[in-house]
Amino acid sequence: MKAYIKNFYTLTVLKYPLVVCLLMAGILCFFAIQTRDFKLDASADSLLLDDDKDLKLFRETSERYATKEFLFVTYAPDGDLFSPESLEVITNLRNELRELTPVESVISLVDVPLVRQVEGSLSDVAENVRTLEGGDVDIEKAKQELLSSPIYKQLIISEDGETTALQVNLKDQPEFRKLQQTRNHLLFKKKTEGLSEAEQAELNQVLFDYTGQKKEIDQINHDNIEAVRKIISRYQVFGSLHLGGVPMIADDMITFIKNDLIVFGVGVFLFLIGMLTIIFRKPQWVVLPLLSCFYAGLLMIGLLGLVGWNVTVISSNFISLMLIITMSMNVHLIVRYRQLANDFPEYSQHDLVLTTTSKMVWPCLYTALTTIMAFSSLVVSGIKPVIDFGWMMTIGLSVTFLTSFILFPALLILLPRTSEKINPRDEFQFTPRLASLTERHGGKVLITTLVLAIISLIGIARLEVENSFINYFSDDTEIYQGLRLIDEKLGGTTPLDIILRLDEPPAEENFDDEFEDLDAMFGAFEEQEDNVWFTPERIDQIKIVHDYLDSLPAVGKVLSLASIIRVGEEINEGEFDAFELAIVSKRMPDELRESMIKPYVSEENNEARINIRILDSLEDLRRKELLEQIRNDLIEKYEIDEDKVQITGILVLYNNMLQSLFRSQILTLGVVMAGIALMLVILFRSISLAIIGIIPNVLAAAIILGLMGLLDIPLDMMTITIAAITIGIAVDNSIHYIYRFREEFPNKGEYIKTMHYCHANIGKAVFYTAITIIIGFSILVLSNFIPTIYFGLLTALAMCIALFAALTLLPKLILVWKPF
Amino acid sequence: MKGRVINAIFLTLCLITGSLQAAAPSPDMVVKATADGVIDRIKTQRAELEANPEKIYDVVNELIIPNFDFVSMSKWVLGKNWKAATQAQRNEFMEQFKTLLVRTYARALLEYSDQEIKYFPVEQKPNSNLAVVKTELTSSSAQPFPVAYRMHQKNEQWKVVDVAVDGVSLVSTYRGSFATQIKKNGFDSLIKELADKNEKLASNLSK
Repeated sequence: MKAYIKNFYTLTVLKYPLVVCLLMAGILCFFAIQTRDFKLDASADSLLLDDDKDLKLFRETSERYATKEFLFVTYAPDGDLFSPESLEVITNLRNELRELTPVESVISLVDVPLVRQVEGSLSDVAENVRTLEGGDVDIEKAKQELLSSPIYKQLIISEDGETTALQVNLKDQPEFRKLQQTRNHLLFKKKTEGLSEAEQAELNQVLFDYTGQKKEIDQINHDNIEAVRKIISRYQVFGSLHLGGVPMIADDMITFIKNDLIVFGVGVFLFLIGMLTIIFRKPQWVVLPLLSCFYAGLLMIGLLGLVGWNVTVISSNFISLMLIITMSMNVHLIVRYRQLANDFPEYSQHDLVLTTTSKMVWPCLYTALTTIMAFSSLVVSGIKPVIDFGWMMTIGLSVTFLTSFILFPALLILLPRTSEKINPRDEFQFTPRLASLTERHGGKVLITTLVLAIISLIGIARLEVENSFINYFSDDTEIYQGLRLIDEKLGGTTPLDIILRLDEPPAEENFDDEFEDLDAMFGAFEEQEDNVWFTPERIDQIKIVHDYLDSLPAVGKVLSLASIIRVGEEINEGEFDAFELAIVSKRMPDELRESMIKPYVSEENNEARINIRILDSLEDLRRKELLEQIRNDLIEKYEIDEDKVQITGILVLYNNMLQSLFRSQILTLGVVMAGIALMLVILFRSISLAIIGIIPNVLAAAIILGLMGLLDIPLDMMTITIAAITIGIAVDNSIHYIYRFREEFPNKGEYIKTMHYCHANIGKAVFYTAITIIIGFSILVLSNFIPTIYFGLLTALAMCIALFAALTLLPKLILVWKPF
Repeated sequence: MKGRVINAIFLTLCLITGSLQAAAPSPDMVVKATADGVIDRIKTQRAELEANPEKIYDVVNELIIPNFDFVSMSKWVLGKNWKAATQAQRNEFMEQFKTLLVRTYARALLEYSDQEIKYFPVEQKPNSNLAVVKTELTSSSAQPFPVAYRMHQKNEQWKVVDVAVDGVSLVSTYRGSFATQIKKNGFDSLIKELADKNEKLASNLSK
């Protein structure tokens, strides 16, 4: 095997380096062209698995109760919200927003119908529906009406009456929606029961069309949001305005991902240049690794474009991680090359490159494999963006390895042999000091390890998953501010639907002679419907559940059929009876039916939808318990059959994700530990070396998890990956160190001496690469996405701990265990 | 938006009410004469009614109610529950049901303004004691409102047994609703609920 690799290098890479370089340049060109198809995705599609049962229910419900997409513009004037000046601002703002092409309609404070302006009989009220815009309105009465309206309070006006919201309804995209439905249906079927050939062909076509249309719609949405923002910015002089709504969050996330990609990419690139310059102080050692990084990065972006794999907010840091790991692999190669050049002045450039590559290929392959192992363990997490991230990095690392061992040596051999001499005094004396520390204070190292391990376990026991979506964004982002405002003043942010299958009305009795069916006697009326759906019994069932939900502290706005019915009943000054209700529902104008009935009732399914919003930023919100409480109360207290209640909505999906975090954390950690232990056993053919090798890294991961527990940093989609990634990357330190130790031990014959030698050699490479990785990860702090910031900082810290552990605990364990 | 709901309720109720008076040979004549009589009374007593809205009950009781066959209506509305009920329960139910119709429709009647009633030819099979009188209420501000009266002849007099607004039959609608209520809480509870509602309607009117 080794001979084969040596032959490969001698006969190809080292013999025809120019050809190899040209070939690789050709490959790069091909992938560079594919980068035009590289896409970002921040939609819900990118976050959820297609075979998720709750997602299926959620999608079905969304299809049945088609609601329009909308943006929110909130406005809190400096003065009184109901002053003529403020109302004029709202009117103007609404007019401007209405003018935008993608906007279908705008509902604002000034144009909702006021029905309490005129006291008196029904007809007086009916003929005197006024709006704030229309004038002739008693402002105080209007304020009272809006603040107590079952529909509008907490929707377009805050409970304190100081903030209003304009609901900007966006035009429906029926064709795209249809496409999306077909796509979802086929994807679910594919995952659950498989597709026929024809269906697979249909899916391919649908996916193609979907991608094309989505791109267009995303662009329209983006431009529209820009336009809305421009309008808003001009109104900031009149008070405080914010933008909110799902389309805006999705669009901003795309911008964040874009920024992250650019900032991380550029940041890491600049950092690499600085770092390489400081470490090696020679242009060639800066340019060569950078070429490798550039090559691997671009190729990977092209590959993702080629296979149509979208980058999400979770995987947005894959480029920077790839650059960092490519660079660390190159640093190992350079350090070894320089060491060889220094130790063997008689070696030609060819000999040096050949020896370097053939000596380093195994440890580097192993370190690459362990890192791949770490990222591929994410595939078992069960969380879609984390799985995608795992696959992306797995492929990315393979690209990195191949680039480092083909492009780097091919380029290196084209250059003249290095003439530099290594002067140990020129270099950092840090690692030799750690060797002395380990020799003299080894016992303390072991005790510290034990103490840290215990503290970590205490912290791990306190780990939490509850986290508000708002906390994913830093407080200076519009997403954060908008969500916070809507959460605190305008009825909450996270939607949840309670779908209630209603009791069927009792079957019509058979008529006997005396009580004949009137229809049979007189003949049915022309416009008669057999069953009037709107019955007091059904409405009562809805009202009961509506009021129950409204009573929960974590629930903000509740909207259901009961809301509009109650508006009618307030005017009617009493509940509708069966006949009134039947006529009201029959005579209801289409427009009203479309906006206030259809989103909340599915007559053909005998189903009602009660839409609530949860106050997501509530400090002690326990999502899982809340969902369980709602279900249990409805079934036990309100005696609704279990199969008649369905709870769905973003909160359910979000909670599922949160609840799966623990499981994902344990699974990925288990897989990565088992996988890496096995790899170490195979590499070193020694169980004791495998155990020694993995301990420092598990410790680093444990300390980070413990720290998160102690600092009340909840686990999230990003931070659950830290432990696995830490172990996967940090174990490289152990592999390099142990590999070298085993290589040198027969020469030195003594453990202490070998340790000092290793610290001065491989220790330095480990140190450089670790520093590279630590600072590289720290660059993620520049993200707008809080989990990415935590991920960067905590992984950097973990790498720091792992570095110390690898250069103190690891050698101490070797000294104690004496495995050779 | 809310305005339309109100319109719907109001117009409906108005139509059901605006009708029926003293005995006359043909069913449509009964309907027309009643409607004309009621409209006439409202017009002449407008000021008095505005001052004392509860006086409208007298109008309803005098002019409209005699044209309804409440016993038959009650039987149809209750179906099998009529048979199961005691005589006292039947009487109490009829009383409350009648009051409900009086109070609900009295209120609607107060809203009468400029609507016109259009009459269609009577639908009646030859020699049958059953007939349907179809009318349509039109006004300048709303969609036409179809109202139909199902009538039967009893003791030489045509009496209303069901009213349908826009195809919604009063008797069938209440039958479904009452049956559910009786099944759930019993007959007496239904009577009590009707009584409560009637009281509420009365107090709302005099407010």
